[in-house]
Amino acid sequence: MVFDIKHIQKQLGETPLVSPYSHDLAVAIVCDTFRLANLRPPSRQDWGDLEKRARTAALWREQVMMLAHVMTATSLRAATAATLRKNVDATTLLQHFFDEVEPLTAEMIRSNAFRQEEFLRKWVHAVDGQVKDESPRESAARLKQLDYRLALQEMSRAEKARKQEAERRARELQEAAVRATDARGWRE
Amino acid sequence: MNASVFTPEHIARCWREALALWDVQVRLSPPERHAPFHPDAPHANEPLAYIDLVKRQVYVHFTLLTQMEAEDSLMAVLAHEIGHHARFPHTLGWDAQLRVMEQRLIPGLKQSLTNLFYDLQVNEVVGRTHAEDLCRVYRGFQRTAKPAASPLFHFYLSIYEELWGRPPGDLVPQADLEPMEEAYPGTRAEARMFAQTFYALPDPRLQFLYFCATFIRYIERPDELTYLLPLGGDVSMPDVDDLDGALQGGGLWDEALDEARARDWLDAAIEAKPQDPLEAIDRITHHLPGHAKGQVRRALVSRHYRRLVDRHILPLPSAPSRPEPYLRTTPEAWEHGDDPSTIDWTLTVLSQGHLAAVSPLRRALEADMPPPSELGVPAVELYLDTSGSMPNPEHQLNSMTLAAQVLAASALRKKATVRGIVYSSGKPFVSPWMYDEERARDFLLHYIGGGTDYPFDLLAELSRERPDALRVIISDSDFLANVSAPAHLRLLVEATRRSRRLIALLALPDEQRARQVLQPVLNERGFRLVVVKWMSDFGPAAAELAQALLEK
Repeated sequence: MVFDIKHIQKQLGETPLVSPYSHDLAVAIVCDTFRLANLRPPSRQDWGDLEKRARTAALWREQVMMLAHVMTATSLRAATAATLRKNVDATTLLQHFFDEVEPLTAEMIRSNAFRQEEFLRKWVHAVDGQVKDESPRESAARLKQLDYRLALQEMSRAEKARKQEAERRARELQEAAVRATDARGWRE
Repeated sequence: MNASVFTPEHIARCWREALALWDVQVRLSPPERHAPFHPDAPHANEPLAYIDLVKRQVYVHFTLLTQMEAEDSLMAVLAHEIGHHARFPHTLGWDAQLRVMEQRLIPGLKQSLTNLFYDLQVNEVVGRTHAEDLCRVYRGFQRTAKPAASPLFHFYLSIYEELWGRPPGDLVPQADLEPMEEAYPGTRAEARMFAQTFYALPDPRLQFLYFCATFIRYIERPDELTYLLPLGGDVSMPDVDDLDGALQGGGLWDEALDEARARDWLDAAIEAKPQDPLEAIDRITHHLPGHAKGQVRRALVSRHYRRLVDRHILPLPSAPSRPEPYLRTTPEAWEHGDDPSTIDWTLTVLSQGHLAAVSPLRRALEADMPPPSELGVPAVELYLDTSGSMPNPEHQLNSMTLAAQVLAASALRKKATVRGIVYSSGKPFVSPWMYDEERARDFLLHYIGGGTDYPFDLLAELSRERPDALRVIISDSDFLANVSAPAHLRLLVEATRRSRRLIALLALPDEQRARQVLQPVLNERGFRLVVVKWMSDFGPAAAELAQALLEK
């Protein structure tokens, strides 16, 4: 089954922005999704390990709650259950997914259409699904374009250059201010 | 395809679809054909389309659209223009706010970036369904206008490539990708981050701060920046009222500025500086063309001084306050249905005797309105020193000018007439007798600069012409140097005798010396010396003086 990202985003737009689920309930919803695909969901111990692996436990919990919210509010859950292969290890899949979405906060997913799309596409990628009307290559290219972690890494280069340029600009601004004062013909 | 494709039916259909795209009720006239500003010059330098937000009229350059091979983009172009009216900026008051903030963040910017900002907002909405149509316009523009390589334009187009998921080089020239990345490391990443952040920001003010903070990197010299973009100069300029409102509304930005500071977008040195109103006026008007620049600046400065004047003068009530009614009117017969409390029983018993109970008399209460007083405010003549020791009031607060404005406004609000004499060295400016504040305010903003040469001959002449006037000289220690010549002192004494009152309002560090120099004239009954020690005291001193002289 293919994932219709635009339709899922539209469905999300019609639901409350904040996940109504507690962490435990969110975990249960994700586990149920695996059960729907006749797969063994991660055990309590596995969930504990996933939380320990996360760089920030609070952020990870936010992501779990958002995943549960997106699953129940849209067709993502049904599409996931239909797509999951029988030999998939649920814990490994979730590990991979949470590694990929590591910097995304719930607020980002709620308020930024790009981050929301990234979150959804990374889930589709994790479950080895296909995006509607896209070739795997196009999906990979789009995912790369949306990769926030990669963008942050590349931005660090831009930030370094920016700092140097800002110093130069400050000097130029001072010069411009002097020129403007001279042009007025009056100085304090 | 040629220009004939633009039939009235086709244009009307595109117009309907463009209006439907914004899904709002707007009152705009159908698009009209743009008449080239320079018919003999190449069309590429003409605007492709623009909206007159005052007339609410969209114009399209159909020939240029054909040359760009973007005839199929007509609907997107029209939707773009409608977007300016419907949402971005929607009002020129908002545009004015952005222009004021932009000059605060990027001082000296020659060409405003606000149009680029609106285009980013409008194109995101139009591009949701018509991205390819807009891309066709930008590609066509580069083919026909062949603009010089500009980092700003490159970055701007890169944002659209990222926003619409186009590969690098789809809109920007492929050959420029590498040189741009070398000159500005991380440009592509920055364009991607911008596209993925800008539209998710919750507040348009925050969006604009982020926009300026990002784009400043690609502006080499703000004071020389000019750019030509398709659909890049299609919003009208805000008028004086809009700009004045924006200059007063700085507080609205505080929250957004705080957040931008917290997100590390702004250079602390720029954004933490308190904004001087006259400096802000200078910044937002300096790039305007000659004549308009002078007019707009003078109007904005005039309004700024009016506010300062109002701060010093208590506003006079427009109508006299209504006193309590306590005077009894003449008695009338009380009739059934009248208010029983109006019956004056004492008077009734005294005048009606035993019939008092059957025919009571009533008397109402009325207020004792004071008779219109004779204000007796004379004509006021103000001699304002505008020598080089004081700044030009248009650029920096000039306390002497403010004092003159306060006195003029006080007198005019008392129905007096005012004449201004603005002097320095050379021939002074002399106004006719003025009857309204606006005119007086405008005249008293004149500035000469140079040395101080008090016009004693003119004082003598005017005091003969209008002997009963109240004369106020506003100056500093230079006046003492001028008056120390015996001939000048004699003229001053004579003028004092002819005037109702002559007051020297001077900024002096030492009053003693002034009293020595002015000794002969101080003996005159009509002369008064008012000394202020600090320039900032001029305004309050003028207000007190006006109260003492005019509020009697």
